[in-house]
Amino acid sequence: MSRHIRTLVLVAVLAGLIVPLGCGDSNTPQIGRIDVIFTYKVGAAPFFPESLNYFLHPEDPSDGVVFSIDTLKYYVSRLRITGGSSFASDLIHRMDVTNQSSAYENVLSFTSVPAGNYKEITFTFGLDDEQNVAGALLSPDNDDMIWPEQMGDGYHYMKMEGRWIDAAGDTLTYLTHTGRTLQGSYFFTVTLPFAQFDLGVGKTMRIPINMDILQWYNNPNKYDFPTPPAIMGDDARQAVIQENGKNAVFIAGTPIPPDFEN
Amino acid sequence: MIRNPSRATGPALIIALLPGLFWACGGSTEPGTPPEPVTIVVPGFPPMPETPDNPLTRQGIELGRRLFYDPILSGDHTQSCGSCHAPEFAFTDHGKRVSVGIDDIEGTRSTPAIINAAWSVDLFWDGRAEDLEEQAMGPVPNPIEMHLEWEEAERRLQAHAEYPAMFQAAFGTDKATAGLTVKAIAQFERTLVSGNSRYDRWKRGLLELGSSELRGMTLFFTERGDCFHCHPDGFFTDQLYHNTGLDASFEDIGREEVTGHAFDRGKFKSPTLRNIAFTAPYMHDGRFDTLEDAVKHYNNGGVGSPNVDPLIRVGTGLGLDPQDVLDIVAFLHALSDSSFITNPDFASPFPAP
Repeated sequence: MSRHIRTLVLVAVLAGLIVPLGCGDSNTPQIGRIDVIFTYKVGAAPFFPESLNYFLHPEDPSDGVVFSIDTLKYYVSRLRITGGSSFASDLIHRMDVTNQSSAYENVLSFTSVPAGNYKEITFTFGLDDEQNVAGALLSPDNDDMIWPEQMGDGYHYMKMEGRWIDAAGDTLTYLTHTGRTLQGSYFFTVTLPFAQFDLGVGKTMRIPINMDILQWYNNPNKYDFPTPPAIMGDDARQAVIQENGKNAVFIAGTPIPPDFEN
Repeated sequence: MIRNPSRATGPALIIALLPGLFWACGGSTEPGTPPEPVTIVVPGFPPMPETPDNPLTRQGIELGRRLFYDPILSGDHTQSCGSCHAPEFAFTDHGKRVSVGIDDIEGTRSTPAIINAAWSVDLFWDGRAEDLEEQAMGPVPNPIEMHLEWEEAERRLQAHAEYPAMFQAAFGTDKATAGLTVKAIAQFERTLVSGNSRYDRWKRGLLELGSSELRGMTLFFTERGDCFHCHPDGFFTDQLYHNTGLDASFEDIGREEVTGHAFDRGKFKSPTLRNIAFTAPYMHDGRFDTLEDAVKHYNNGGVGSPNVDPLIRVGTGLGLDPQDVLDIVAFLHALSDSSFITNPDFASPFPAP
């Protein structure tokens, strides 16, 4: 075998060793994981269900109404995380905050997020009309969220329920049920920028999102609980809740890796 | 995370359709023949949840049906599951405020109906059983129900002339254990499907409802009557627990017994309203004799207590007039499924005494 041929054989052997290694690298999924963590507060106070001691309008001391949050469940859908890279999910996520014994948070885990740069998260609060179809969600697990056809059909976007004490000292109840009425739809899109980060291959980042429950009733519109408490057929109230929800109910915190500690 | 449900598939040998159940296969089973899988498909219903630890089979259902109606499982051979869960009353103990066991000892709660239980999330008024198998384990040894230790029940079944062969056909073993007994009963109970009421047929365009029924339906499914929150369309139960303002304080603490959580005091699971006209008296303690009484309770607003459900209009009531109440009751009657209570596949296999 000539020297030239021996050289070709050596190159071929080396190439045979190298190419599979190279293929292995290129086959590694270029993905990481993002956990979106929803937490809750009531103004400056931590959230605890069933506590009848939150001021409804703390900016209005003469008001004096206190309330509790006994039930809080809602849907998040059409979640998008974008920046230099992008990730989209059309899954519908049920958030049941009060049906747990502790750790009042909801974690949405996405394990196949393209590696890359991210700086913004967007989601639909509730269900858009395309997804808000009767029977679309797994039954019976979501039957408690059914919104009757006679009132607009589909599912509640949110059920927030509890008690409140009026100026006379009487304990009453409220039912902040949002959804699609016979006149219109009241889902909305939330867009939250956050401190940008680069998601590495095989790495995890956490995006914290906080819901300030008080904002539903204060900003920009002051909202008083009605008597009787039902609002499902009340378009004016649905619109107010929608506008408040869009405004400042949700805030994104600084994304952190899971092993991050202060 | 929620995904759209997929249709149940599989090598089903028996398919149940409405109205009634059509048993495609019959006859005896040759020894060594594997049990025949059964899939139940109900028009308009979501797929029946799969039970991989206890799949439905023709032989299992047959065994369960027999065990359900056989008083061999009670201490004095007088009472079966079917004694309190009678098919003609939508599998309740008609007319009795609370259940009564073999020693004439009264229980504390009304007999729950067994309707579409395959889809139930937790069983009993307080939800203490996670599935039908766990539920069926309770009444046999309960001293105020059937009052028979499971060891003795197993001994009786094992000594029986027919049961060991039926267990063999259903489960591949002739050992009549408590575990397999409740599995068989649970299989039978999963076949107790009701989805063919006048309301269902109206939804399918097969008949017209009367004006009172239609008016009642509108009241039911809007916030005027506000029935739908606890009894949504479909299974007519939200599968959740509510303090419905029956009392200011509670001797029977209900769901709190299970969770230990004070906020669950006096909460009981919303029953299905399907076939409710057959299941009087009403509420967990049978305090209301008629559907009209039950609707009037909600219309009056109930009694306040620290954890009364926000859906209950304490102090104000619903503001329904007497005709509204009658219309809602008319709609509730439209949820009656006569083909369910007369289905021969659900009846006792034993000759009437």
